Amino acid sequence: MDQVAFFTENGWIYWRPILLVLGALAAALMTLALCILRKRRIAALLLALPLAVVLSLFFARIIHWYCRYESYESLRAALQTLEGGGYSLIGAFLGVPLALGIARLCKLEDNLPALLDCAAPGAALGIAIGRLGDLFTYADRGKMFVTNPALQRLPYATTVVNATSGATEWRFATFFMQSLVGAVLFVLLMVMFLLRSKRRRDGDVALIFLTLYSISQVVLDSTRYDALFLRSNGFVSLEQILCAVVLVGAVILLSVRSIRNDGFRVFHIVMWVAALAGLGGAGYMEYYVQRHGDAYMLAYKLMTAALLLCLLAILLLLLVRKRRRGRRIAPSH
Amino acid sequence: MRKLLSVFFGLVALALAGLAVSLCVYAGNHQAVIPDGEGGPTETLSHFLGCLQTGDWAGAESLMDGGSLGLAESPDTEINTMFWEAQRQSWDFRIEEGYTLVGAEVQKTVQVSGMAPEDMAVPLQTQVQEILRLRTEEARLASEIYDENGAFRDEVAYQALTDAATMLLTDSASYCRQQNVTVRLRYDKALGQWRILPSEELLRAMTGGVGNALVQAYSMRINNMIATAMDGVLPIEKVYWLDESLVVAPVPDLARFGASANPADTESVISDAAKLLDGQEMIWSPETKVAPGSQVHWYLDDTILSVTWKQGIDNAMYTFSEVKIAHPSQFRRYFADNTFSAARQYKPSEMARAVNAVTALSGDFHKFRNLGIIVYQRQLYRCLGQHLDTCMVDGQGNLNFVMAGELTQEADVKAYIEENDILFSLAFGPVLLHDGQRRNLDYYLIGEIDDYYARSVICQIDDLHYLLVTVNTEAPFTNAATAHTLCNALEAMGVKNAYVLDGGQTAALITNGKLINAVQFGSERAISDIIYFATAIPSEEGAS
Repeated sequence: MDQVAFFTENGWIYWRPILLVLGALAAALMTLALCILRKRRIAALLLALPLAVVLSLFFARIIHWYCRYESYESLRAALQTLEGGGYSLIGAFLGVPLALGIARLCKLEDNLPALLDCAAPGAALGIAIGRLGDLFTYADRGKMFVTNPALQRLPYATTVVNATSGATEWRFATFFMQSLVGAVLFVLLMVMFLLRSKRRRDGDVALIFLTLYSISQVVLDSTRYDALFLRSNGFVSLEQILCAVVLVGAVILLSVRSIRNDGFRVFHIVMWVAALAGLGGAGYMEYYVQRHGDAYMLAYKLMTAALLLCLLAILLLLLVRKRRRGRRIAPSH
Repeated sequence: MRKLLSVFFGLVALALAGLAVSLCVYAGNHQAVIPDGEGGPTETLSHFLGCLQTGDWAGAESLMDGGSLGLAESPDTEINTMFWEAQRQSWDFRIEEGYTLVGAEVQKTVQVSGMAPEDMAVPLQTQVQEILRLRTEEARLASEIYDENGAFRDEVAYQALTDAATMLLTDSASYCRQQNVTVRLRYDKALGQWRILPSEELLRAMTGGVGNALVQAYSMRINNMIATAMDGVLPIEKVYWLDESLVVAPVPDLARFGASANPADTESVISDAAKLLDGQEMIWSPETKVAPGSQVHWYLDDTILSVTWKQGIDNAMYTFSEVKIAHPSQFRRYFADNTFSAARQYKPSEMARAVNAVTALSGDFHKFRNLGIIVYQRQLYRCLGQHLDTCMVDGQGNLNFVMAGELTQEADVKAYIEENDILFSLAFGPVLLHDGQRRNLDYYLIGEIDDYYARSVICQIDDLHYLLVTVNTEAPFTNAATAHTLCNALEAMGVKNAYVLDGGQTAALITNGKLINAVQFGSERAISDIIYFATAIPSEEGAS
């Protein structure tokens, strides 16, 4: 049950939306700060930020309605009010890039990848703050009960009251782990952003953010007891599917770049095999944990290991460059 | 300047992060302050309780956030009316200071004083005996008191009962109990008022019953108390039933669960269940050849008999639970979080324990697929009947089968629900047996009917008499079952009506809160629903 922050004459204000607003504000301000630092045009941001809010809310609501349509009267009812139902963070991952893309199309900014790089650390910070909002709800908890008294506290577990029996249960604090991941990603991305490198191209910071976030979410979303699923598939969550798409996309993008720079090599095949093996292994462990729920510790460890293999492949595709020997150009006579 | 601006905004962003963390710490240790003066929750609650005490049900319900008290009815007999009036007079409420905030609900503690009729059973019995003794002494002829069988005449016994009850009820204060209950209130923004949320706990403390038919439930309670008091004098049958709106059933008496590796130990249980069985034959018998190394589990009270055993058939492990109930309300359905399409899913055993099921079976897992006709608590939630057979359970506890494609329009389904008194539905299928006739199963959209697979089935044997079945691979048996081999097995056992539920890892049979069958892959799967059978004896009366 959502915890109330304070009562007013017009009703009550919950803690969760307060945290979400703080997260969005922090994300926007950090993006602004980094845009100023990198001399990006502020006009683009002034258009994109409010547009991002509107688009993110819209997509977040649509996605939640699609996955949980039987919780709503109709799509129209879902879109007519902000109250009730739910929102999917995936909507923000659609809304923000789309808003920035519109700013690019309006020619308010000519370098979209650079703009995305400025937004990435802010996005991680926003997620870190926003996820804390679930401290005041019963959403985004794990399927696993935490029975070890030593682990019955944050960051591992929080209490949930069973809606039927009234019993208090200690469940894995998925939301808190997601918040911690966001915080770690923020620090990592800020270091990456601030430490300029000639080898780094515009868009790499955003790509690293998406890659690392996707890898963490494949595991963490699997633990949730209220994950969103497509209507046709109750096995793999929507978030996991999209994360897999992002990871495959990262492999493709970096492979194309690497092949253009250095030509096709055996190295690429090895990386592809490693990435696919990692993704395949993670996919199998997802199936395994669904079938053998009690063996979740082993399953998630192996899933993480498989995803780290995929991550390694992506990082190697990003970082490894063929050494170019110096070529002398003979003077013309 | 640029760098300064950048640093400034960056620091503000980080400050917001720090603020967020601080708020989390603060909120974890402080609850919101609720203005509790005029029009506040305490005043509203006080007004509500005042209406209850004066019998102003409409006034009390006007302060509620939906729902009704169910107190406006009158009991059906004179003696029940006497007790009901005394019960109402006995109510006293005291609101404790302070409150707890849970989400947007204020919870207040109320000390409730009310008559506990069960405490009157023994004094009533003593008083009745005394009155009958005096009447017997005063009577000139034996035939004034006794009938031709030597038992007290009904009218004499009933008069003694009424007189005894009248005497006892003049001192009803002696039979009052106090208990603390939690009442929840919610603030209605549109009305600008606090509203009382329906409180089962409060109503139980006041009347001993819960649900929409409270006065009926109270009458049942008095009837059963009198049955105890008049034992040997006037044959009054105890009646127990469960209100439809009840989410959690009464706690079964743990002492009445039993288990044994020797099937012969169930002989006495079956013998004790003769009245409940009411002449119906059981499929289980103590001569049944159970699977080696397995146990037979049972539960028996006045309202429910459940016998669970494992048996090898066609090299597959069948787990059966045969259930006979006294009242159709004991056959129940439960959705996760008591909500259609709830965000969360639970293991079948978790749900079974949450609702105090004696015996439970995994349901149709309707959340997994967008198919079927879903009815729950008489409401239609999904109407996609083109491809799946539906099992509609009516208010008499009978399984009614609607074949795929028979009902596809919402209006037709709603009419069917209304006309047939349907409480809930199951949407998986297929129907295997219908009135003893085997279905022709060439094709069915779901359930891989031709493959050897773990399966679950619900069967109806007779009135209020059911058989829950799961089939799994379990040593020493290496097969599961196709829909056809499963049908063969059930036919051979004499089952006339059988409906398939979700199989595979979903199939789980639970008794006494414990998983009995060997689920596929070795661990239960979180699903959306179960069906279950519960005792109707109130927890206070039956639980140990």
